[in-house]
Amino acid sequence: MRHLKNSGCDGNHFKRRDFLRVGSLTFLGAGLGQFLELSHALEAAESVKNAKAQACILLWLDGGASQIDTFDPKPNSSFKAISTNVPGIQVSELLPKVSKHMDKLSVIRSMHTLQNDHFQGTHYALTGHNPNRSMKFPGFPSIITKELGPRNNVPPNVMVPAMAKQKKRYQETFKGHIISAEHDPLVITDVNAPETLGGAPVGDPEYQIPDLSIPKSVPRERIEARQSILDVVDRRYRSIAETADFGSMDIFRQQAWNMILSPDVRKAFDITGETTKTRENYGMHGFGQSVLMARRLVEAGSRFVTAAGFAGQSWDTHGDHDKSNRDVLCPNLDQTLSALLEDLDQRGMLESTIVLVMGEFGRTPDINPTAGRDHWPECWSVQLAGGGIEGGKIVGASDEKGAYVADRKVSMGDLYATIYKAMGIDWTKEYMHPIGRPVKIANGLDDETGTPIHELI
Amino acid sequence: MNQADRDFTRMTGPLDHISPGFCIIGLLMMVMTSGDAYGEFPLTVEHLETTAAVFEDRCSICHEEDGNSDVEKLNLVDRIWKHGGTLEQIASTIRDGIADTKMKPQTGKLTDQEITDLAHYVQHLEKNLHGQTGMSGPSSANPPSGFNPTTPEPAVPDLSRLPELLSLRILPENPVMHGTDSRQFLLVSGRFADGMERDLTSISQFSLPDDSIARLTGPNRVTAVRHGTTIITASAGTLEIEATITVQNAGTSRPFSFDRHIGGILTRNGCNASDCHGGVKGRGGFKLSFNMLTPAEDHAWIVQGGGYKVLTTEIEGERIPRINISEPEKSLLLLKPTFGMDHEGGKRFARGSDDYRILAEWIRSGAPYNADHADSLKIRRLKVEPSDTVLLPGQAQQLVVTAELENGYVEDVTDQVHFSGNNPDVLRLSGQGIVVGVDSGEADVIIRAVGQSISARVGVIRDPLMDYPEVPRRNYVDEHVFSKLRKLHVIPSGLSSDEEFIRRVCIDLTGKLPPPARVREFMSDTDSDKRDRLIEILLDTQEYVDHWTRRFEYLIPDARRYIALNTPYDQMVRERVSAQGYGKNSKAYLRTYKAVLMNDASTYDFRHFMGRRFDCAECHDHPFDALSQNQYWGMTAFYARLTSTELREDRILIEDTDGEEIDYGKTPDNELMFHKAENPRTKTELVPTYLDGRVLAEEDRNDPRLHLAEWMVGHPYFAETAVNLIWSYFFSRGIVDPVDNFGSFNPPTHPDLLLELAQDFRDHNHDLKHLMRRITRSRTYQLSSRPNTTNQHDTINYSHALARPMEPEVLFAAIEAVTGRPVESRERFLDVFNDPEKPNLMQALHMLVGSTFTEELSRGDDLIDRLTTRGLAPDDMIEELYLTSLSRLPDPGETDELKNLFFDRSPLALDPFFNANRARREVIEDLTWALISSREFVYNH
Repeated sequence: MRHLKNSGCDGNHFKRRDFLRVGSLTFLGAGLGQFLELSHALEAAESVKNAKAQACILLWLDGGASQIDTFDPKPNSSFKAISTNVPGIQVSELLPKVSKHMDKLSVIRSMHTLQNDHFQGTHYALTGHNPNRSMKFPGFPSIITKELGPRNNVPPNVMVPAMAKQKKRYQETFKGHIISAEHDPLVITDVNAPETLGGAPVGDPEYQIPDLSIPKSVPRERIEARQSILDVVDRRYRSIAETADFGSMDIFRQQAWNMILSPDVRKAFDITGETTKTRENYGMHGFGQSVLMARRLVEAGSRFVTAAGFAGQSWDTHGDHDKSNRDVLCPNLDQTLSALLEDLDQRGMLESTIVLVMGEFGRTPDINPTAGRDHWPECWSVQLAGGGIEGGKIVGASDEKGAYVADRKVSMGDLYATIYKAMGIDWTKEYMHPIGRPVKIANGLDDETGTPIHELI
Repeated sequence: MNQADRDFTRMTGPLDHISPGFCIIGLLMMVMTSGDAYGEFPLTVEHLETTAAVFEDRCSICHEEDGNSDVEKLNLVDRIWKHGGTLEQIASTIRDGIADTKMKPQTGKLTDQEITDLAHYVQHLEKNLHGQTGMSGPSSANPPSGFNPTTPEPAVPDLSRLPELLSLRILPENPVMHGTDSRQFLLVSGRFADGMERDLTSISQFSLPDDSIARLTGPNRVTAVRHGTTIITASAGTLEIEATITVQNAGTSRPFSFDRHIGGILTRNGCNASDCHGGVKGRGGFKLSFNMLTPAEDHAWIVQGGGYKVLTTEIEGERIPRINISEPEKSLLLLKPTFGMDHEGGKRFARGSDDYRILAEWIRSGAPYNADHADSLKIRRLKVEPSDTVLLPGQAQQLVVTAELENGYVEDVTDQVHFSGNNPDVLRLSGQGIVVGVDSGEADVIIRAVGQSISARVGVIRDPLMDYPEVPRRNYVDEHVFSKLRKLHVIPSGLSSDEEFIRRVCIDLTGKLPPPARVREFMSDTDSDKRDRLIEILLDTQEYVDHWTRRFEYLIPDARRYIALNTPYDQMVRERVSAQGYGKNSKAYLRTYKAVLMNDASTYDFRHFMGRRFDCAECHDHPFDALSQNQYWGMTAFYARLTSTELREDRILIEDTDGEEIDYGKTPDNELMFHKAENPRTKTELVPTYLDGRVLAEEDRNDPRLHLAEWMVGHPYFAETAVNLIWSYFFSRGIVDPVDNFGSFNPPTHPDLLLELAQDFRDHNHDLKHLMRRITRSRTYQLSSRPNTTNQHDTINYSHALARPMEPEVLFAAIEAVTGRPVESRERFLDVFNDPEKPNLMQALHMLVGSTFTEELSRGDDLIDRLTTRGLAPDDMIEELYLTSLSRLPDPGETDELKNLFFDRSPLALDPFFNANRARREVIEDLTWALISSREFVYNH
């Protein structure tokens, strides 16, 4: 398209002027979709190629974990604080294994966010923006994938497993929305897996990733042979009309086929390729196996993997808080996170892989009448490791109850900026939303661009 | 500025001791007579050589002889103007120099005349390099005309080299002028034998024999003298054309108006553009409203300074006044735009320029706000001529903008507005209101004046068509669409074939593929009315009801009932907006949240029924449009007392008349919920107020939405939004697109068509079926999807049918029609295909190995089984599958090739179709897969 030659792109982001053009596309014809293609058609920046961090695994603590019962121990927790392998840093006694890897892990104890409800909180944690009726914001996983670009034909952005059906809306916040759909997470649902295991593929040898593996009923040879029939059927119409959409359809079909045939991809998704010992190290539960799958995917080439245990690992403890934390949640987290850190370290992947541990908010410092803790965005903790981010550091501090920020308020924008910096992404970038509003990719409080946390990078 | 003006300015020089009143009169006179200092083009051919010598002597050392320096900041011909590219800006750069650079001030070294000439010369260099000279300047250097796309059209038309000139017209037609000394630019436009219209102003001679009413005060400018009418004649080539000039209300004076006189300067110079101080928070501690929509606030921002903070009346940053009354020259308002101090926005005008002097004078006289009756000068409406233009690359067209004022006067404001193009690859702007074609495409020139914006549509084409065929037209849709195509020299495709049409119209009206029997029947029908009859049949089907219910249900919960009865659309919306109680439509307000959020409700309704995204104005004035935050809250106030209560299982919607404030965040669901009804910024109580500022009467406030609904459906926006929405379902793009983003920044592709559709819709009782009938009967809708060489790149002018992705539900139903049995992977399919961004990788994966396209085709007890049972021969089998999926017969070549493929593949090469075994069925499954995976199937075209 000739009129696209001056793409109007400044780096990878659009200027307002480009938005204004959208309403008046030339009759040389380019749709908005195509217009947006421009952004990802551009080569990944040099800084990205040279950056230490090449991928990120997000351990999503769905529902919101209690800061005072995990990484910011306080007297108002029912659990004691224990020392770690970093002098001066303590964590909850519920995390004994992780405490031995504290040198790899840093804790931000002064996260401050703005939303107190699950959906709004998830939206905020993923985008740095409050939900807005007139526009959708890109989730940071998709931004990272877009800025880094894919590797080795492996799906660049994966979520394992899918969120529960009624939480579909939440899953949307992980998507790119204003950037091309190919950067959206490929969501792995295992409809056959028992609900108690969070729907995660935990090693059924028969397990097939929907839409990614060749079904038994139609063998590969047949699928390949089908292409020649399609060539015949398609030929006449191809001679009549050619559009940008059709072109993309061909490209996506080719990519899809490469992905389906790629032995690397198949291997990455086949969790049975791991030894029983490794699988047991991560934990034979939805959370553990999801995180293990994430490591496999990153090893194969994925850029961002969100791993959670949803059904079996809900941190939303409005009732029986202590019991859930003591019996299920923290032991699983302790086991899986420590296994991941150790595993990445042993494989030499920790230097290039950021591990991010967080949920949508923290939990109230006070216990409610049903022995639970409620939502708390005022001050909570986020954990980071790997990818060149310093371990064994504590950033900021909460007050004596873990209720409010006592020192160094950190925003989502600051967190994103830190991760972006580690990945060589220019965190000051803005994308132009099709409705004409610039969107900061690292949006902090008061709509200011976040700043990388200097203590960590 | 003429001599008298200069003298006057001098007279009103240092005026500290003179009363403000006097100054304002002086100021006002300056405003009225200023603005033409750079309006003419004095660089003659004689000047050219001497000026070139001066340039070579003084400038070429750094800038190179042709201005084309390799050093970017020194390059004068790359169209990048670091310090402004207008004549005035270039002249002032030469005169005043650029601080801290080698560009030293030339005052004293060169005469004023030499500086002006040099500025012209610099512009000339740039234009000359790019083969375009705008409206003026020597034309000798230009290549001869011709229609080779590589040869740009010369800017000064040469009639001897152009096709035959057929007729002339003067723009504005028969101008009316108000007030002595009011001025009007006139344009002469010629229609040529190649179907192009060209701006001939620069080669036209005007004559005005009787100069007692109005006199010529420039090559193409008249100035009013006294009340009366007179005739002006323009000639170009051998043709002549007359226009009547009417002068009215001569002798009336104009009160000082802050927004017109000061706002005009800020608008024209781009200071209040949305990417400068007109942005949401302002820029650099200085906020202005976009287009000076709120003059009183702007006055305060100027006098006090400061930045806007969202949702509060607090000011962001330190308040630094932008003016200094005791020392006007030290005002930021003057220092910044003249680059007397650092200014992110660069240099906007020069010290000593008219703008500078007017602003300085205004500050000196105490920076007054409006004089009495200033509101009479407010701009009520803008008009731009020509409003749509078609240019060849390099061809220039001057636009003339006139304003109708509140007092009914008409005024030429061409030199008081801000022009910007929205696609530099299609057109560029050269000077005040001159557009120059760059390369083929279509774009808008957005014109901003104080309080108003308007746009002119410009098409640029490469190859004018001398022979243009007669295109039959069935109704006004065709009139508008084909007239525009004619102007753009694009020929529409032929009429669609019957197969093409039946598939397209069935999918569009009913969301279903036509059954094979219907396709056969239709193809063999010889009645000339058969397409119209088919449309009537389809409009009467249950499928029609299902399809349009699905499309409307999200908007109007009770849609099924309305669609089935073909209820007038205004009634549907009236009932929906004013929904109360248990009614199904109440669900629209009880969608996601337990409490009804008034902002959600108002923005949703406004967006879908009025086509505007009001949402931005919740927190700040709309950044690109005339929608203020106060208007937002005034409209939202209609929903302020909307609340719900839970009664057993159901929630009901009620209007709470007391409207007290409680914290609904902590209220159990079964209690009434009231909303805080105040403007979050000004903290004032919300009062239901219509967009035009009319307040809902006290006695009507018991049921405000009833009145709102009535007002909505009667507003022009309503029908325009509705017809545009329906239109988009048939063409996959709106005349305004996106359909919910109307606004001056997003003009319609076919403004007159939109208006006529809306009028037609209102005239026919908002009848949706009537509207769809009008659209589907048009030849425009029925064009073939096969493009020709003139229209193959068109995606917005309806020159041929475009392939449009089917809605996921429609595509799924089509797949089920082909399998002939329910497909069980519906949920997964919709999941994957509901993505707004398409096509995408997930869809491609699903189409290759997903269950819909693999397992689901192998379940048996389906169409394949039924066809097999009927014992169809291979050819018939292929034909039946083609008819079912693509609604057409296979070409003989296709059938042969497919059969060959199957023979190759099947070990039972002789006759795979009649050998009842698995291989045979697999072959047909594979064909089915290919059919439903093909482009031809997945898209409606």
